Amino acid sequence: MTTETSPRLGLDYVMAAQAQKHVTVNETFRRLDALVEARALSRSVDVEPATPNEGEAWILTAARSGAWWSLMATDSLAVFRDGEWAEIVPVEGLTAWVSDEVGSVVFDGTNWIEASATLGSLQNLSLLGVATTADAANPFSAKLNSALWAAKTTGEGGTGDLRYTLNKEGDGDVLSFLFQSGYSGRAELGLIGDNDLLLKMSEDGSAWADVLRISSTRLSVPTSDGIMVTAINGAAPGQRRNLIINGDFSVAQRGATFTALPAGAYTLDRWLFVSAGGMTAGISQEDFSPGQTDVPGAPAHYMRWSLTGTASGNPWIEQRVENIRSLPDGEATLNFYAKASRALTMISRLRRNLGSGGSTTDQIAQESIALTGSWQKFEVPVSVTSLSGKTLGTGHYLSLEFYLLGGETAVDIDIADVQLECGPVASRFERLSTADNLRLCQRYFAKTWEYGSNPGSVTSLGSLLSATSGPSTTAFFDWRFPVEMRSAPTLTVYSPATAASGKVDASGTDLTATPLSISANAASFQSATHSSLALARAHATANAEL
Amino acid sequence: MEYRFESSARTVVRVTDGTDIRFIPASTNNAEYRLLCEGQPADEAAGLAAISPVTILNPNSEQD
Repeated sequence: MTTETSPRLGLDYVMAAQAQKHVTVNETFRRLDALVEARALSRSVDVEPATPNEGEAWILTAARSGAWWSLMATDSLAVFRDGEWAEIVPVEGLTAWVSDEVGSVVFDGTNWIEASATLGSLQNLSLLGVATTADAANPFSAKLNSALWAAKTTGEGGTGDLRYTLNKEGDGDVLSFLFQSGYSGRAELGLIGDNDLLLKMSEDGSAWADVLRISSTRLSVPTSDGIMVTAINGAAPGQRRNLIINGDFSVAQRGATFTALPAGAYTLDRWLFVSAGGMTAGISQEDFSPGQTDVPGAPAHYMRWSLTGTASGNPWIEQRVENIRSLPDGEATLNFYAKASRALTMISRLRRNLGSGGSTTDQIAQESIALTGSWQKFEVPVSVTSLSGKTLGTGHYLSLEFYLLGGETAVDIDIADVQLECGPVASRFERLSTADNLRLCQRYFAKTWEYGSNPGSVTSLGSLLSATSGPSTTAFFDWRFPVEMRSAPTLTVYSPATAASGKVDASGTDLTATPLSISANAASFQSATHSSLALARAHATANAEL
Repeated sequence: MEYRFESSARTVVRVTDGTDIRFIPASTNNAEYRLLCEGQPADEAAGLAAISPVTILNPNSEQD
């Protein structure tokens, strides 16, 4: 034996042939009595108690005071025994119960810390109750008023993310969150019996209704009241989303093929050929092959813009959208499909023309479109600025423009399914019926020829009918337009017999036509006098483009 | 190209190049009439020449 005390707790050893061994042994028992299952009444009392009870102990504070305590060290155990105070200096790892904290503390060699702070892990617990008692039905149970799961930050060595993983055994099992009121279910969200994300709701905890179901390809709302929303993609529910009319190039009242186009000519309905930019340009309506999958939604047509020569300016087509208010400030999206006979860059641009007498034209979007030989979908985000402070003149409009830069050479550009809509999402093309599409186009252009027969065709089919009757043997014609037009249109009258403009046909004789009135919903005109009563026919076009 | 009011009411302009004839309502809501009255500035980038406003002649009934 080389020392007289134990190395860790400092317990006195009984020495060989020692006198009064009981003294040494009892002193060791006193230390053990204080240290084994150690208990301190407090570790926050500064003033030495005047009348402590036998066996009571305190962990001393830095601000301790008193005749005995002031002689002892901070963090020591001050134990009252046998009518006097004794100091026990803690060793690392000493654990003590602190009565007024109702918890254990551990001395870490420097400070007393809560014992719970030393737990590095809790493994394979069968029950865990936080402020409540867990049981077999709820092996983990907590009774709280708030809970927080926070991501471990990068500064703490984490990633900043927080991914909460819940796993069920198999597809047919349930993985869900159940929301209760008074321990009666009201909502359940999760993978309930399959792998769709399902939201179920209940009014009484027993009858449940599926409200929302999301699979990997579909979101459905099976609830009986359906879905109620204030907007879809930034537009009113049910509102026609696409501001572009004839975006699928299916309506061609003026004809389906246009060659050597002059500047300012309208082509497929609503599409204006602005300039050839020094090239020779043609526009045609082309057919998609049935069953093609390059452009979804089974479109029937696309537009081909054919250019030959070399551009000295900007070859340019556009559509003018009536009323710039139709695209309110905020986010909007332009999307379309396009390809070209060779790789080239086409520019799409969206401008606001504030009309005659209005503020100057402003640009709200421009994007370079890299065309290749294959159909591609292009999405152009549009940030629409406020019209506050602008003056709106007569005939204001949005212009969606496609143009090429100077120097371009011969190319064929194909464009399909052009859509301009409110909101940040490029939704699926809004394909209208032929009747609806034609009616929208007829607000801007109408003709008396049947659909498929171009203006200027020599045919009486569809023509207006009158007779050179009355005292002056004059034929009167009244043409009610198929829909109210945007404005009083430009009227052109044709002889069905010769296609001469400004003429009507009186059974083989062209007579000069004279307008009587032109309004947004009708036009009337009369022929020059004829020598006798004769059946009179006339064709006409009405143009109210912007 | 000749631009002439159709009648003394001056509600319609007859536009003719000797072959084709169009009747344009004298309304600023009609884009073609606005172009007749206001013309259009040149757009050099696009290669578009300026369009000057035109003179609309008095109706034939008011000549002489």
